[in-house]
Amino acid sequence: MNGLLIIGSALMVFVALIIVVFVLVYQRRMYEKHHKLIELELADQKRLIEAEIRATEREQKRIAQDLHDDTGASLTSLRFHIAQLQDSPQKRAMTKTLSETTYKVRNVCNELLPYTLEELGLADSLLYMITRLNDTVEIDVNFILISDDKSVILDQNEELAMYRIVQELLSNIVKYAEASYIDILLTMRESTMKLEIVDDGNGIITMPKDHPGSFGLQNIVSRLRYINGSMVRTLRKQRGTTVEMSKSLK
Amino acid sequence: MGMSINLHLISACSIVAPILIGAFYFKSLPFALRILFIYVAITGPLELVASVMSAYEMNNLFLFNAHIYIEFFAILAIFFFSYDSVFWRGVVGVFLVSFLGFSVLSRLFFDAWDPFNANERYAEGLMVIVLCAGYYISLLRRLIHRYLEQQPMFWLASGWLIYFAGTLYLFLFSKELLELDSFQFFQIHAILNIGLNVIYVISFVKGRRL
Repeated sequence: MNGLLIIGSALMVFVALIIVVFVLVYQRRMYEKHHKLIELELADQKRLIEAEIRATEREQKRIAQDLHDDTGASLTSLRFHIAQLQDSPQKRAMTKTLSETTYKVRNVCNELLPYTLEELGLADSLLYMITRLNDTVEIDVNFILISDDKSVILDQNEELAMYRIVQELLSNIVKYAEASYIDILLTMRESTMKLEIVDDGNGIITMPKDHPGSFGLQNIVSRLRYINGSMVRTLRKQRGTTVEMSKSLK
Repeated sequence: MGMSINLHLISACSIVAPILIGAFYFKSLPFALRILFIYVAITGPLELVASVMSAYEMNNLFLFNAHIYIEFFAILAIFFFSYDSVFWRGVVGVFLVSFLGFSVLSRLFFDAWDPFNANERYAEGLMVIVLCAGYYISLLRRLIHRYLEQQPMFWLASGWLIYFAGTLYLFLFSKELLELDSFQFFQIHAILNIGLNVIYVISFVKGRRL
């Protein structure tokens, strides 16, 4: 009886141990496989996003160039013709309208193809964008840059992605948030880049899918995924939203 | 005989380790492990009283009877709060009702209060083994932990599986073994009990929030 009991109990313990080890090993293998699959899917998604972003940028560049070369040239020619007219109230009105149109076309061109980015880098381009925004909207937009060395950290695609993200966020705030101020803080250190955008607007955290601003938010998420960045949006206690984006730098 | 008594004493004293470690980390323990601590904190004095009674050759089996309920309810509560599946939480509820029903029937028709209630112990063992299997199944379905050995609940489920599987036969034949005064019974149980208490300590250490 005793002998049988010991063998029986030992056998049960042995089986239990085998089950524990099996679960441990099998789960680890399944986990690794599962995560490899997720990584592959993410890489695929990233490739798709990359291709989509490149195609969009290419198309925007083409439109901007067409606008600049064709419409810009036509406007210049028009200016030349108007200049030849005799001075009159109509001429002054036409010149004013022409100047406004030229300014608008230049703005559209710059939004489509931020040529400042290549020449000035991200920080100064953002500053330029914000200065122009301050001229056109009645929102107090402030920009603070904290940087070790702003020119070498991001590559061209990453800079363009960040620029577009800020552009999209500012556009959303201007259009929907009814904010009176926007603070933008860009911190570029050796290992991380952090962008913080604070406003005192309606504090929209989630938008319904059919809301016009939701497309812009999807766009931001795609671009962040493209540059391996992350974003946290928080509703502030009193009013407004804080959007924090960060990206690890190699 | 001497070795068996020593082993039994070590087994009884080994509960002190999880009590001390659990008390030390109590504030940083998740809810399920706090239940475990309460359970070991109750088991400690019970073991002490049982050992004193055993030394004075008094019948202490009623303490083990009471302990079965405390242990089973604690295990059920821990599993209930650890499962994220509604099905397995339901199983915990069904087991609770079944165990209480079985317990009443067993008291009325098979075991009195004083003799060792082998049927309940056996039923408890089987139910805990099923709950451990349920925990493993949910672990394999939801691959959220990279290192299972870092999860206190994995240690607990494994400890209970080994302990209850190892003692299943012992408790099934416990009446006969007690009548035979079999020391192997105490030895096997003592070894598994020491192992289980070590696992409780590991669970407290792994489970504390850093």
